Amino acid sequence: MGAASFDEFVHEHQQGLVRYAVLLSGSRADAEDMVQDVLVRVYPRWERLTPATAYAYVRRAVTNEYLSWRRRWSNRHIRPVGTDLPEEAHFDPARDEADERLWRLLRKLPRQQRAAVVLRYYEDLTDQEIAGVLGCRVPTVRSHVSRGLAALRSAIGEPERAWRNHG
Amino acid sequence: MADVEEELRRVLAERAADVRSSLSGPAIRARAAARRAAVRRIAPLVTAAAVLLVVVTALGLAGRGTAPVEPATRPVTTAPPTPPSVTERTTSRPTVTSRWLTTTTAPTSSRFSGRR
Repeated sequence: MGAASFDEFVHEHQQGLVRYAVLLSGSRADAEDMVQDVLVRVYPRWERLTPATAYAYVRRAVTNEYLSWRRRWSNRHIRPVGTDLPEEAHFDPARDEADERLWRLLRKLPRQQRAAVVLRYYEDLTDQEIAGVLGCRVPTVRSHVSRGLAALRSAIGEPERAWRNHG
Repeated sequence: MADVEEELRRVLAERAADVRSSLSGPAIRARAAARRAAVRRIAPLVTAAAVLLVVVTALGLAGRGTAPVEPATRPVTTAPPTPPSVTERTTSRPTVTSRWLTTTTAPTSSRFSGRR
């Protein structure tokens, strides 16, 4: 795997990776920054990756980057310039109110829970695969997903009893 | 429950579909090369600092003489006597209790004999 295959990988998967990162971070600028940082770090090791595992490897690296203390620290020290940032432009203000509320609640979830929910309901991974990405045990994944959904249920208006059977 | 999960799937898919990114492989490779060049530029400085630190530490320790060696030899000389002392303690416990029992029974028997 050389430079050409790296370029091909970026061309093919950058959209999917940035979309995944947007769902994690909630901001397009952060997502692009995160994916770019990860790809810059991955490129020197590109020769060691196989085409079959490259996407999963980079996705895991993006998740780790999102969960890392270093990024949390750097994000905490950035002062917002204004409310009309370019990354907010792709959110339609006329979107359904329930969807907006769900999205806002999703952004408030703890990072591990949010990553587990996104991996389950966007990337369609199994508990085992999510455990591999997050580097935790399967029961922990179930707990993250269950708690994440329980926190989101108010936005969708589902009664609490219905969520207890999840898993 | 399935409806809620479907709802969540739909919202996540809609949000993701709105995102358009413009990352390119050559740009990322260029940035990686620049990063590597920066690391290569700093590497000799970091290596020199690390070597200097090791040398200073070694000289500092050597300046103290053989003092750190002495405490290390002490436990070797004192170590052999300790295992027997541990075994003595464990074996002496039953004898101590048995003595205590005999001394307590002796006065009671003498009292009985005295009353008689």
